[in-house]
Amino acid sequence: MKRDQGMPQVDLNWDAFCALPESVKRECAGKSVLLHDGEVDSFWPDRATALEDGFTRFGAGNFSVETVNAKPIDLGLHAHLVGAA
Amino acid sequence: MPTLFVDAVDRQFQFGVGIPEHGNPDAHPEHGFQCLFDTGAQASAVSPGVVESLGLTASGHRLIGGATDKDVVLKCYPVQIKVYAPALTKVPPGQEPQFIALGKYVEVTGLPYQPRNFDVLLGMDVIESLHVSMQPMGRMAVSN
Repeated sequence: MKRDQGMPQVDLNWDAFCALPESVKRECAGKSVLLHDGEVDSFWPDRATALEDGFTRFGAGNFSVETVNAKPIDLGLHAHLVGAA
Repeated sequence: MPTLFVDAVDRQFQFGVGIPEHGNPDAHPEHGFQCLFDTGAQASAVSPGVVESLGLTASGHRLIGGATDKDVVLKCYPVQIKVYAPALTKVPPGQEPQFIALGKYVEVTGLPYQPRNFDVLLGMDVIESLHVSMQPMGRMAVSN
């Protein structure tokens, strides 16, 4: 997928992430995926290393990181407010 | 290695937090915000005001568990964090605040609302990397 001019990288990459085949999501469950220009770049064991590689190779704002089949994060008290906002 | 001491106010521990712009922390002045330590939160979060004032660029999304069955997908932002004590707005004139630099990127979730009494929520993803101890009389000691 080519980069759409004006569309934020994170939104473009999110579309590509959501379009991952179910077989890939099952196989890579829990892994972090580095995306760039609307395409999957690489899979990593955790977000921190994916983020570091993204900064090194693409620079800030030119990539995004998503977690495959991520577990929901509990924000404690603020979970109530997030759900209501 | 500094140890920060903060007294609870209304039974909440509020620190100051500085967030240099990601990717190039030396190029921009640090911004000071009020932060709340929250051991009940698995991850850290920031208000929309922090995202806007720093011009943060999202690095991805986080799935946040709602209080009901409905989960919410929110954007997250990579930042470098310095924890200050006392809070930056409470530093007496002529006194330099002490701080702890975490030395790594933390992905903070962008909250969809503006909290009333803080801008940054420091959750267990940050707290677990610090030495934190509760002391009598509502005092907290933090070091790294």
